[in-house]
Amino acid sequence: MSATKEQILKAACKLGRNILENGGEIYRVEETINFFLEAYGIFDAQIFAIPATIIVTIDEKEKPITQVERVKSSSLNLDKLSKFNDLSRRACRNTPDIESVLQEIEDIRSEQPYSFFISLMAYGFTAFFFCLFWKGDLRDSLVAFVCGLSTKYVLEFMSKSKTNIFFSNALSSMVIAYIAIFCVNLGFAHHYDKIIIGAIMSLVPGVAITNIMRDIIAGDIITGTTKLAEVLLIALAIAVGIALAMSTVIFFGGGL
Amino acid sequence: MFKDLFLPCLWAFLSSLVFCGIFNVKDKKIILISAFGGGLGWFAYLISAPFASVVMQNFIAAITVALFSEFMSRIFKTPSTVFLVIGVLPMVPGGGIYYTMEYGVQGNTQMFIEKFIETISVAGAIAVGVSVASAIFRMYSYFQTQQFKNRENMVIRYDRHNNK
Repeated sequence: MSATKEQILKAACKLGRNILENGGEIYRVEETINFFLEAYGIFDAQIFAIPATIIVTIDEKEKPITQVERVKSSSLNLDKLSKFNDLSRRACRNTPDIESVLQEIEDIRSEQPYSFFISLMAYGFTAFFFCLFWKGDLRDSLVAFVCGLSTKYVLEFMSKSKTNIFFSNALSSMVIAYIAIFCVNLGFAHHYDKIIIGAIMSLVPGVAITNIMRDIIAGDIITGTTKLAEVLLIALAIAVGIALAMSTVIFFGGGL
Repeated sequence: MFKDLFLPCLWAFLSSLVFCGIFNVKDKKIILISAFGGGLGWFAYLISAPFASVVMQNFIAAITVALFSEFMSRIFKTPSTVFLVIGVLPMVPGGGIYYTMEYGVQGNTQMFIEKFIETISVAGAIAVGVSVASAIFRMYSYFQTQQFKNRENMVIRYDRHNNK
């Protein structure tokens, strides 16, 4: 064992950080770091994680060592999440040397997500099938498909110009509502409500809703409350965006 | 029967399937299984309609999806979040958010409050259902490992008894 404790700590923090950034739960991050450190022979480490920060301290006799990781943005990438999870399992079982673990983390980090076209089609077809699911007819679903494409374009543009989560959700749902209402008024589709519902399903924070109670029950009450605030914020943004579009149409066009 | 029961499940399956593209799931086997979880959850939702309210329906469906994803995560050695997040999607109250907002814009306060409370309770039912199921599963796997340990000890004792 040539690796120093600093190197082991660095690798553990990197692993935890990547799991957090790709949408892992807090207890998974803390457990991963703990198991990793124990596998490399460091016991009684103090680990604290919230969605924005990870703090790990290992207690040496002369001087404790601490590392802080600040996590600024996290997005859901389930492929990378399961790969990092797999890597941490393997590392805990076989304890390879730290350099190869760090190398493997970098390899997984540099993998590209789906191309723009595939992701565009995913947004479009999500809106299409969810519109059918909410009992819209075929013409509604075709309009919803267009709305889904517009969502991807708006989100891409907003993430390039680095605006906040509230504004990007509000703008995308506003564009969706405009497209839906105009297509219905032109006589191309029948139910604008079903088009809008189908298209906003890719914005609605389903992941956070699922994880709130799991986090709270696992004991991470701070994380649960943060996620609750996030859910309320996004839901409000979606509602505000559609309401703005609808009320401007009512105001200038004299009715829906 | 076909139109009311199987067609919605098919749409739920297909929408969960294409949502995998947004969440960057790349393994084809896992895409199919997690989309099947979405269809299964909606099937549970529809089956429980005659004897449960909307909130209870969501609760039952969430428990079904969560149990399914815990089993699948043991089989495929993948975090259960992957199956859970995709399987829960058809239940997420997108319609609730929309109709709440629409009644708010129209100024229909009574319906606004009704839809608002329904949306929040549906979201809560999903969250509680998922966490209850994962708590049950943790207990189950704990007892299973305990039993396994006992059995292992018994085998060792048996071997010792026969001088192996």
